[in-house]
Amino acid sequence: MAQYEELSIDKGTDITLQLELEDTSGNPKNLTNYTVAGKIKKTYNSKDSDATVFTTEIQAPQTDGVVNLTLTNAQTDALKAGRYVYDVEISFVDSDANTVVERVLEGTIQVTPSVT
Amino acid sequence: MKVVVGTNTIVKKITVGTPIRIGSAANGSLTGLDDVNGSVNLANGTILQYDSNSGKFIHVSAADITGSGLNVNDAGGLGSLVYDSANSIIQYTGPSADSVQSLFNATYDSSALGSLSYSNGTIDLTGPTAAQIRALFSAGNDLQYNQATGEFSVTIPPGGGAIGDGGQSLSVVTSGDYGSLSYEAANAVLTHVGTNDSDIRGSISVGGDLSYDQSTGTISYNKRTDTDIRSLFSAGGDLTYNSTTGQFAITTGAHYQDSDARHSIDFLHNADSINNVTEYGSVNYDKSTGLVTIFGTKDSDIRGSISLQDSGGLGSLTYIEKEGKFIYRGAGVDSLFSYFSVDEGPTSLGDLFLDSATGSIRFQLDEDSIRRLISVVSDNEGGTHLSYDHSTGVITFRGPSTLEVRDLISVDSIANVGDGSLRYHESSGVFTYIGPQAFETRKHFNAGLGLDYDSGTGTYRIDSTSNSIMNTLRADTHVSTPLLINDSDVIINPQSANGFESAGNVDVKGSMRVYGAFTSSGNLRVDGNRATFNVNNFYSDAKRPHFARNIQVDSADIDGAGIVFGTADSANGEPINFKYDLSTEQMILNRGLTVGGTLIAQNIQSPTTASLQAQIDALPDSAQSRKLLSAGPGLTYNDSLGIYRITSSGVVAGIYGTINKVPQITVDSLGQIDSIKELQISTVENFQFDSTSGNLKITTATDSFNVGFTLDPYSTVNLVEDPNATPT
Repeated sequence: MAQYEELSIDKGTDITLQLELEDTSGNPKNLTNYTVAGKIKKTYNSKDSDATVFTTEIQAPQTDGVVNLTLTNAQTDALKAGRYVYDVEISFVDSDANTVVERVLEGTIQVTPSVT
Repeated sequence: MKVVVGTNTIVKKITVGTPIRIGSAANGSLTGLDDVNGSVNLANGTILQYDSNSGKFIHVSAADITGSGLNVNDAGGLGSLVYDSANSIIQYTGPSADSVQSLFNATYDSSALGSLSYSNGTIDLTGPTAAQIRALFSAGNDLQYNQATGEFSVTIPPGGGAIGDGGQSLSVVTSGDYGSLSYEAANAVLTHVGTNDSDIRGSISVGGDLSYDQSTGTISYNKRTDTDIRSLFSAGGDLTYNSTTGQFAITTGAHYQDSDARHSIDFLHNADSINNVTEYGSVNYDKSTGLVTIFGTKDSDIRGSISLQDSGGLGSLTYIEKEGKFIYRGAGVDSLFSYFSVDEGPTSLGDLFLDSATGSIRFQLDEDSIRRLISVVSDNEGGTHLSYDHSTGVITFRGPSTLEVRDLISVDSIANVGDGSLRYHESSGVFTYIGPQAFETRKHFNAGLGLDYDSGTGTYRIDSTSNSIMNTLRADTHVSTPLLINDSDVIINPQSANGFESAGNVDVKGSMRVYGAFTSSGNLRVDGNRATFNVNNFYSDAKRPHFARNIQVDSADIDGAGIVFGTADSANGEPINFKYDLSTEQMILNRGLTVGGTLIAQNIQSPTTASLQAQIDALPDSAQSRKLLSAGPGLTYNDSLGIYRITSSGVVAGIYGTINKVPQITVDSLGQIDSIKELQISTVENFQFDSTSGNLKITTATDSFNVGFTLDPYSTVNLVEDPNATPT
């Protein structure tokens, strides 16, 4: 099972979610040739078209295993205050041309309302 | 696609926050990670450089930025500047203190006072002494100077000391032709003499037709005549001039040419014959060419010819000449309000107000008007009075006084015919009611079913001649039979010695307690939980009295308590009774006892022989008793002898088990030994070592074992003989 974390973000603000990944030996995850994806949905059954997509980046050097996922203030402002679900997946293409996807993090995100 | 769920990667740390943004991407500075072009050209030691083509920062090496690399040129002078290309460090080493100090020196004018010296970075100024400075000053004229002390003093000359005194040089300078300024040094007086009229008149002159009298300052104009003026003009060509009359005349030629005709034609443009307005459109005629140009009327001319007059009233009408547009603006609310007015009728009860600013109409009742509409009528009956004040609108009611009220109340003596009496005392207003007397009350009662009533004494008695049905009966005296009491408790507590006597049956559905004698000729049945007879004697003439529950007797009177059947007679003597003897603490039955069931007694004394023998005879004898018994599993029974034996399993009596054998015992389901046999113990009987094969053969009573036996890594040398071993 992927790790489960409950997060909270502020509506209408720029958000960066930085993940430090490590392998099962406790060493920084070598993310060379990896790609990262992350989405937020209202429920697990929500349509993909209604999902809010993280802008992802593997921070250099890729051997440090640091992943940055960002949301612009326009994206968070478009989210209604409330509880959402999210997950983060990393993937790479193995020698057999198969795309191996690993879900490393999932959970809920509480979007708190803004006044300004 | 293969999906692996979180088994290979662990999220060590999560940081959530707002990204740090600095500067502006458009200005070539980072605003976020999005501004960096990923990992392109990313290498150790690269730095970010803004790429205007991609609008992002890209990774470049330091060498790429500095071209052929970075170098420094130390142009000499103090200190040094070097560049470490390996570590990309530019290092500047400043000058030492000595080298800096060597740059400075101190020089001074040796002819001046004081001195200046410099040593090891320290500049030392030695100033002039006070005496040297004082020696530089001196004084003259009225000023004295003391060089020793450096003090100046002034000596004022006699005679005042004003300007000019003492030989000071003072003079004046004048310029111009008129007036003068002079200075008298002797008296130190300045004298100014102003310009006079003759000087001014002498400086003025005139020319032309003007004449000037310098002595009087008068300027005169000499007017020219018509003749003088006409003589100044002349004519030529077709124009002739008469200098006498001053008239000019034109003399025309002999033929008439096109130019003459063109010049003779002119156009008059009358656009509006009524108003003779000519400003719209125009006709242009060139007399030299004879060309006529007509300019029509323009829209602006037409729009300009229209005017508008707003004669007032509601709303407004305006005209925009440039657009030819009329604009009508309706009447505003404010202007409409100005047309409103309110009028109050002659009989109005209030005032009507109009707020022309808001159009609000407010009606307010006039209290005085309303009060005038109200009046009261009071008949003043019963001491009351009702009055009304028009000025205040107060209606005042004054009630009757206490005496007046009391006077209005009375007691109807005619209707007051019942028991007792009601009286009224008018002066005090007190009603007095005296209730009915006992005899009056008794008269209103009658007896009902089963009761007799004496109105003289007010006493009720049960009618002995009628049947009475009631819920609860408490009889304190004597109740004659029959008495049927259903579904209730009965308490019989006679106050006299008569007790309770019943000639018939007494049937109580609930509990029953009897104090005193209870005599019943019939049956007494108590279906309640308990029937308590706290009596000296309990008599029943019934043939078969029986009790379903306990009979309780007070412990103080328990001796002799019991049940007596019948009465004593000469034939049978004492009646049949079953009483308790307190001295022996035994129940004594004075008749025989037949027990149909089991009789349990701790001790039976003095049985009659016959009865006991009969009982004994009824018992089986020993032979019969033996016959009644039988054997169970594992037993055999001899009913002749009455002996039980354990059934033999066939195991022979003896000692089982030897030094070489152990007994094996088989036990059956009854826990008895079913069989015993002996089993051989597998003791070692022989050891035999085969030196050829190196095997050691161990032979037991039941088996043999071959064991490979080697000494490696040891040898026979390592063997130690047991000193206690017995040679074989």
